[in-house]
Amino acid sequence: MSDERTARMPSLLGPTALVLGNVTGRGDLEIRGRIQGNVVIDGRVLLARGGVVLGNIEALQITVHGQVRGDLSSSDNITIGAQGEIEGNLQAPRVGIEAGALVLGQLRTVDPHRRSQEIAAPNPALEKSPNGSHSRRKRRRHKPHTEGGVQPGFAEPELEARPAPLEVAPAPKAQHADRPPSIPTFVKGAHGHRRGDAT
Amino acid sequence: MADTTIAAGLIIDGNLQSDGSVRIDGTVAGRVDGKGLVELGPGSTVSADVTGQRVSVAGAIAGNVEATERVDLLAGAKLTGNVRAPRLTIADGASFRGKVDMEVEP
Repeated sequence: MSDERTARMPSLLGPTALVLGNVTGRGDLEIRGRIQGNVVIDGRVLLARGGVVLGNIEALQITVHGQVRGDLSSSDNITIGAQGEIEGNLQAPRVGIEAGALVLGQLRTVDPHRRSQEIAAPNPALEKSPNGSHSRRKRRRHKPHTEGGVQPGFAEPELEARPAPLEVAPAPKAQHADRPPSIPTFVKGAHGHRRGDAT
Repeated sequence: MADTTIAAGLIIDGNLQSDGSVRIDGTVAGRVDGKGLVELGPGSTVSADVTGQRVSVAGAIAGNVEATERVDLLAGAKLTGNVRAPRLTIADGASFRGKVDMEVEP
């Protein structure tokens, strides 16, 4: 095989291959075997059905049809196929998960550093609220959008201050004798005798 | 096409083993253990032992090579390590420093 041809060929780990250690470098990688270690490459990773990676994967593009126990991080997109199983976090600008895939982990389609900065930034709308507990309630109702990412400069809409809760008089304590008539009572004292007893 | 191919530019920081054929054009900072044909291409670098049924070397190995059938050191090969195999060829242009043991018990 000529050098040029081999340099452009993607790497392939066959079904019986086992790598104990990390895989790094350039180029695409198709995994049909097993890797016990991290994969950090600047190409595309295809984890075929039957392939297993015990470790993190960081690549330009990741497609999972096999099993992963570790985090996936991509600068372009991550796709989990219907046969894919992943126990770990996913982070990429675009993530696609087919119906049937098993995913257990956190999903981030936004740069985590930027998002936490937006949450931490003081929001003037909330500070106008007179009652501290109301503002907490408002903040909880604004769950961040999880699909499509957050537009830069997204500001939470202003809500009218909630009215103070109505004063409701406590219900009078129910008397013991005031049993609703519909409920039958089989207590001995009520009828004087139990059904079936010879009078 | 080999079962397992490590293309140029890929680095395995650890050991690689396979039941099928192996072709290495990249770098393995560890052992390569195959059960069939193990081909180490011209740009390859392996820094530990290589075993297989048939081992063909055109790259650099800093480790021993052991094969159950044959070992071929091609032109451009650089082997610093010992060879254990029933059959061995060393091509003109191959570089080899080590011991050779061809009395391998079947």
